[in-house]
Amino acid sequence: MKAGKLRVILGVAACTLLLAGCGVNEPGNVAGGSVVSPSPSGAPSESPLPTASPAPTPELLSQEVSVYLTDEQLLEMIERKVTIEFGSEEELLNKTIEALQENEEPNQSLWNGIEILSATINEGIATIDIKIPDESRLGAPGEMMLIDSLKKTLFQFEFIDGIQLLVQGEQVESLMGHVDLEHPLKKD
Amino acid sequence: MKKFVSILLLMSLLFTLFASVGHAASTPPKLFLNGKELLSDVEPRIEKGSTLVPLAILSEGLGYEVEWEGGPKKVTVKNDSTVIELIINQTSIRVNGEVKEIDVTPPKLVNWRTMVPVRLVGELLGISFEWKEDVREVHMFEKAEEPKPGTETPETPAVGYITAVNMDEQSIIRISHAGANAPGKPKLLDNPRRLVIDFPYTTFIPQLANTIGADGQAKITVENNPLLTSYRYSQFSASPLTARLVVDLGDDTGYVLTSGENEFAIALMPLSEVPAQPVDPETPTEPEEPSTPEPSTPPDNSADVYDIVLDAGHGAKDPGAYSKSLNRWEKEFNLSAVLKIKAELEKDKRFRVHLTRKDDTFLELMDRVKFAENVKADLFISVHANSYDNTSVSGVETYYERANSKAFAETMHKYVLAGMGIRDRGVKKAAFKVIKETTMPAILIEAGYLSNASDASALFNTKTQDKLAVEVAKGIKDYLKLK
Repeated sequence: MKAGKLRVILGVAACTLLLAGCGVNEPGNVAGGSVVSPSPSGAPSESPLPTASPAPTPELLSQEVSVYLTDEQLLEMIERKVTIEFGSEEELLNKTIEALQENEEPNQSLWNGIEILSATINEGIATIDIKIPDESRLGAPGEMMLIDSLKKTLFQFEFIDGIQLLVQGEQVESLMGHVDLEHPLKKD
Repeated sequence: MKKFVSILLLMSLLFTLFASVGHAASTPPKLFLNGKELLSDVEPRIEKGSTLVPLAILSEGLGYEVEWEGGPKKVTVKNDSTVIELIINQTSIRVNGEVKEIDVTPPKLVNWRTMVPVRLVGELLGISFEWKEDVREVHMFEKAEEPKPGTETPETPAVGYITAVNMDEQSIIRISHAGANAPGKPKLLDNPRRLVIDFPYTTFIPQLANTIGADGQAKITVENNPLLTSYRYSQFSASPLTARLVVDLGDDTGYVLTSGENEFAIALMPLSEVPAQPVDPETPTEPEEPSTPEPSTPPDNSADVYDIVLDAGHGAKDPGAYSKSLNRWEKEFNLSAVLKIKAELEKDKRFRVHLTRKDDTFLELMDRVKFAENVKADLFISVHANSYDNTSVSGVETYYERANSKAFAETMHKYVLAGMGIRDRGVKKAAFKVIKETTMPAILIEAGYLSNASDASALFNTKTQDKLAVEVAKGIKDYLKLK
């Protein structure tokens, strides 16, 4: 091999490694959460148009959903009702979690600072993969209400009877060091 | 040759890529204080020849008060005699109000942590250093006889005056004085090698004071003397008055300090000639202790001794809650508080204190429970600090879960309130793991809200922590009905 060609190959190899190296430190590259199945069981499958057209508009359902926040003083849980439009149970799950994360002044959502990596549903278990930024860590009562508000919010749905809460794909003993997590959290 | 060089260049490029991607850089230096390793979640680093450490290490490990102002990015470090003000990325610092330029790396922020040059701050606060090159360790030693912050000397001694500073032909530096107070133990420092002697409550007579130059010191250069290159004196501190003598030593110089009538004499000589003195070993290195929970000593079941487990919440990768106003983490407060409560309790021989963690390590909640069960603790206290989005929420909360813990919680809550001096958010019941699964009376204290600036200041205030420790010890005695 000529010297020049060898140099080019080494140079390309160096660049490739550099680019590959950029991706190495990414902590959130997690395979967590199951592959989304196109049609979750139990979803309403009534399709008024019996045509075989490739992309039928799925019927959008609308539901009033309760999400739970905490009051200004971190003393009690406050119910907030929102209307959610969804085409599948998984979509309902995801949109409910989004609504759960919203503050409604003066009430606070403890989930506001938490990053949701994925939320999927499979055979009644909602698997939610999250990332907790260090600055969003709460004290003991905050963590308790964080988990209680999630349970209260998701267990209102009949199609959910368990919550598998993961932190960056892993089952941890505790989210923030005060409350131990059951795997999965079960409906009482 | 050309081909070889270019391949070599490419190879070194590859190696540096690997170095940055895989964190294969040289190991960070380790820090030791009085023989014990200091751990931190952010590692010390070396930059331009000086070692930077997280400021919290200095404050925690050395017992100094540290304040952080987010706006001007200013750090204030103080003990009873000195106040140092540092600003991130600036090389000018203020010592007791006087501006000084530092010739080392300025303080910086790394991962939310304030990193400061350890040697600089340590010197100014009276710590001696030793850098062990081969093992990349920095060893720090505190002055032995200084009482820890919090115990002030009852009366201020009368001010003494240094009347003359001279050196004779035998390389003996003589300090003539009238009523000057005995100097603290001389400090031998490196880089450059020098001897530092402080005279508390002492100043100079005007004649001598006038020789002190604009740079704050008077320097006498010594020619043709292998033992030293110069010696200098200054009014190191005005409040309290501290006069300082610094001798710039040669590498092989030792000293003997003696005091006679109205004179202190520092005799310099080669190290080999320094007579063996009964040295007071003020820094006996503690035997290496495992960082896992203490092995369970066969518990003494006699009713005379009470086993108390103190659990500092969180640790290492779990930093706990964050104080934005102080840029500090809950785990530091928890550990400081627990160490102080332990010290306070151990003044009374009826208590045997066990810590789930005594440094910055991580433990699962279940392990903390098992630890308490294994030592057959009589009482369990977990110490935490709180946080909430609404920054106006503040105050102390004490939690229990089981029936046998209610009375304990109600008693302790009063004392924690007395110690902290902040709002009362009451005694509450909640199923936190460590108070749920233990069997002895157990409580979890949320001593204040880190998210509230005022609570946070109290939580990280040394005096408040001291008071909290005293009150908690009193509370335990009250609950156990001990006198």
